[in-house]
Amino acid sequence: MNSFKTLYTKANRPLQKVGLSPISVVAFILVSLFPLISPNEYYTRLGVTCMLWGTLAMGFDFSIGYINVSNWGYAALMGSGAYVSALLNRYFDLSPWLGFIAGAAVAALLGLLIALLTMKMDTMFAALLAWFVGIVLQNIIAATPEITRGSMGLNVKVLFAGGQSGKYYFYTMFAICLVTFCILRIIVNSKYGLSFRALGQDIEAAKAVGISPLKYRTLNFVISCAIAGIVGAFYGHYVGVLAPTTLGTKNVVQILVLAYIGGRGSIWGPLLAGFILMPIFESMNNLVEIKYIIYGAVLVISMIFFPGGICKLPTKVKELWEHRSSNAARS
Amino acid sequence: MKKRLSVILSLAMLIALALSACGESSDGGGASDGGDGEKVLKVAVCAPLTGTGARAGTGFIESTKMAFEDIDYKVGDYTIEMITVDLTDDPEKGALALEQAIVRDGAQVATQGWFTTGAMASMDVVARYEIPYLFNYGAGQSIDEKYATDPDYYKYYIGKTYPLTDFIAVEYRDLVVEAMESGAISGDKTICLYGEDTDWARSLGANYRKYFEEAGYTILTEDYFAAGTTDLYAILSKMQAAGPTLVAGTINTPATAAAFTKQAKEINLGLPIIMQCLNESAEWRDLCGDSAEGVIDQWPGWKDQRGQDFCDRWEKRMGYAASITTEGVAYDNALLFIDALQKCYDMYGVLDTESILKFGWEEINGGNYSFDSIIQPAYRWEPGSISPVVGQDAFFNPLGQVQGGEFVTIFPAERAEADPIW
Amino acid sequence: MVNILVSGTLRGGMYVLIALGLALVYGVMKIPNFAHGEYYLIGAYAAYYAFAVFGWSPTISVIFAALVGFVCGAIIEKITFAPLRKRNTGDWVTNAFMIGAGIQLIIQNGAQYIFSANYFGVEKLWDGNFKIGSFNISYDRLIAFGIAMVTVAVFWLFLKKTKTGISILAVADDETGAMLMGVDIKKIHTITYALSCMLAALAGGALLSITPAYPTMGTAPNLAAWFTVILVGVGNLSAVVVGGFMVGLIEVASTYLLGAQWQSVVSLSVIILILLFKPNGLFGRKAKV
Repeated sequence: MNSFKTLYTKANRPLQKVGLSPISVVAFILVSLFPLISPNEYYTRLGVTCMLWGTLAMGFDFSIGYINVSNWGYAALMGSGAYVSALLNRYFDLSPWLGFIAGAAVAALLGLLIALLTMKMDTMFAALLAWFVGIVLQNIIAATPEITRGSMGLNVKVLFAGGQSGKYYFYTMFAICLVTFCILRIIVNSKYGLSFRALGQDIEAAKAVGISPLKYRTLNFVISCAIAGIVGAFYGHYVGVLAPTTLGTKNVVQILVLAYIGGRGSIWGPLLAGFILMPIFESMNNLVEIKYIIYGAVLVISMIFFPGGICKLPTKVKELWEHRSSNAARS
Repeated sequence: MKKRLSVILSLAMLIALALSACGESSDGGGASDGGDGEKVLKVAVCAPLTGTGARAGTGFIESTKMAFEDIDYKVGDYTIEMITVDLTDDPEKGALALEQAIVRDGAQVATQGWFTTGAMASMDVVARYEIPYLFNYGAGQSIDEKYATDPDYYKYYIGKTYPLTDFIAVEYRDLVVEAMESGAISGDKTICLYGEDTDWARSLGANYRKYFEEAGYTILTEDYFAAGTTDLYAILSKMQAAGPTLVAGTINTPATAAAFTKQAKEINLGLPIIMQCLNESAEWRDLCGDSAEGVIDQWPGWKDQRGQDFCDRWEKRMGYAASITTEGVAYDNALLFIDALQKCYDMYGVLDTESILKFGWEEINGGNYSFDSIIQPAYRWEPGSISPVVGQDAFFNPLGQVQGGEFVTIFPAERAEADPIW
Repeated sequence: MVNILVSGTLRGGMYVLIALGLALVYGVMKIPNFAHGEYYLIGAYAAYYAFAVFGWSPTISVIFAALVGFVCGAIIEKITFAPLRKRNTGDWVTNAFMIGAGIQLIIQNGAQYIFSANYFGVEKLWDGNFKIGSFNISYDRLIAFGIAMVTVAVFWLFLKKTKTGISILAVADDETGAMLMGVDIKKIHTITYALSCMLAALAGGALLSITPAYPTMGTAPNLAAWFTVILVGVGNLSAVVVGGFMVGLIEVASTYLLGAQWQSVVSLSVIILILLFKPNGLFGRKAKV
């Protein structure tokens, strides 16, 4: 046991520099092997869905879990990224791969805008204002069908065509997911992460020790929204069709659910929640409306009884374990 | 602490993936042979069952079930196994659900459908699995456009059952032009357009604009409001102030349609109203009351007794009245699907993905297939287009007008039961 | 111009009624109640059953809708927000928001499961109409507006004159202080939430002839209520009245001038602009930290 522990710490140090830990490396390697053992296309694509929403939830967590600002415009930013890439491809024949960057850039700019707009507001108002900006974006897209096709639906060129394309999507999304994970973990473990947390806990106290809310809040938003933009661009070229509802509140709630059930302030929690919740709900498709009733009930129950989310589970288990062993020792 | 945390992380990831992978082995299947030599055809019946399209989707699923029950789920010596697919109102979720039906449940052919965006996403799915998707009821222009981008790749998508919305606009234009010429309506050639902000209304709205402008009309205003809006005073007053000779548009949500007619009456709009899809749900009578008097909408009547029988059975089964333009066409669509399966079986003696594809490409796309519907003169297709042929001997919806609380056919002249009242 | 005013006022009146409950619950309990539109739905279904199925008179049907809303609200508060308050550790506002989102999913899909996705509506509750300018406003609309205004007035008196009302305001102002004064916080919370649901359900019932009952009907009023509350600022109940009319008029004016498709863009942009200069809302109090 002890030698295992030393081995673990040894392996941990270099990995931590790139934002990973031995176990997350193992987890990612296992996930990366999934298309090889996946019995068919459907499961491969389900894997893509898990990673896609998990990555969005990670990006969302980067704001809510650290600077404590809930960005309810997140789905709209993702949708903007999707539309930017799709439209550039449609009108200027820009490669979708460059579209990812364009999508990220536009979403980051919009994120900057939202950050500046919400600078002086408290948490609740900031969340609502971001939401309103999202609704405005959604309605602008719906109101300009000459360019975006509006609610008629925009046909987007898919990245990979053909029957066995699932694994290409899988690895593209896997790369986005892995890079996002590493970058976010590196940032939150650096001094920036400390500043973010300080800002999230108490703005006034953070200001007092010289942390500028302006600088760190905008920085955080720009990074978080850029992630939404990249994932969004991928989403468009993956699904093959976009409608203004992509930017809608329904998707915001979906991201919120993953981020909250996964647990805030951990980055890995929301990603893991994506891997757990998406397959479970997907397997309940034939329950129709009952599926959403269960979805709602799970949300309510988990908020009441496990407000910390999945990422707090290990601590809980550990506490329980220690409690038990101390009890055993006493008897 | 960190270690245990990570152990749980990886374990849970594994369990989740393993769980989803296990689902397959237990559900299994995919082959057309059931247990003891019984032949099975697995059909994915797609429609939105949750979200904004749930009402229409329920109509599609239930009427398809009725049609299958009538034949006892048997075509030849094949038993039909119906797999219900909830397309939802989100194309991503819908595509994944269809994918699930194909891969996990082994669906060999797909049919029905509602939203344009959902249809567009499912085109990619069936192309990927090379599974035929017969008779989707999608109307939006975008479906045909997507098909045209790569007809060879999307060739698995066969025989859409609703034509492009051009024919609707053309009919209304002809009606109005005729009425103008005969002097039944007088005034400038001006029109106001309205609609819900949906794939359907935007497609049709563009065609209203195109065809009425062609006939020399000026579009004074064009407004699209959120589906489900029930406060339309502002839009109605705006149209009234613009002073057109008539207003034309489309509203699918019964609540919004009723709000439109009632509020039009309240503000004394006093103009002829064309409202496509008013009778899409049978509740329009209860919701609109006498405010719908004089509204013009397409009114496809039943061709024979089969239609009325269906209505009676539907009401008995579901507890509410069927509308010809939703539940009726859904049932008709299911009959069409069964008829195609039967003919395919008669021709090849086999019902599976390959034979249905062959039938679809050679007979349906080839223009050899025609179905004697309970509503339309005939459903048939011509090579090069996924939309059905439009015309008085093919797909054709006459126009009706609410007169004395019920729809009566007013156009074209040869099918008219009454003259339009302007 | 008259048209804009009349239709904006009618629309605004309803927004006031719906937004008042939302503002109340946020002001007193700090719950951003995302499920507020769903109580509007409950009211509409209740009124439909009372009026069309049981054949009760319209007035009684609307009162029945309000009662059902009150009871549902009380039950839901007891089984969700009350335990959350007891156990809550982290950020209350966002946790409460998520619970609201969960309740929304449950009620919306529950309604579809129980009542199907059909539209349950009536042509009219009250017969007749009234002439204002070129308008022939139906009694339904006027009475609904009247109900809204009377309810707001009665509610105002309730808050200012009754013991329970004063306690509610006290809790909104300073929870700890109120508790020290001997106010039963738990009871006040339940009553507040139930009252807020009652207001929404009342609106749903009164508007039955204009908006029939169906599962997704609550989404639009929910949004409108949010716009109103945020525009005027949280924690200022009387300003909600002004805000409701403002949002109504802005929406109608933008529809009239630019087209319905730009309605939300314009009204939200106006709200965002106002918030830029007044980050706590038009009449908002400075947020306490």
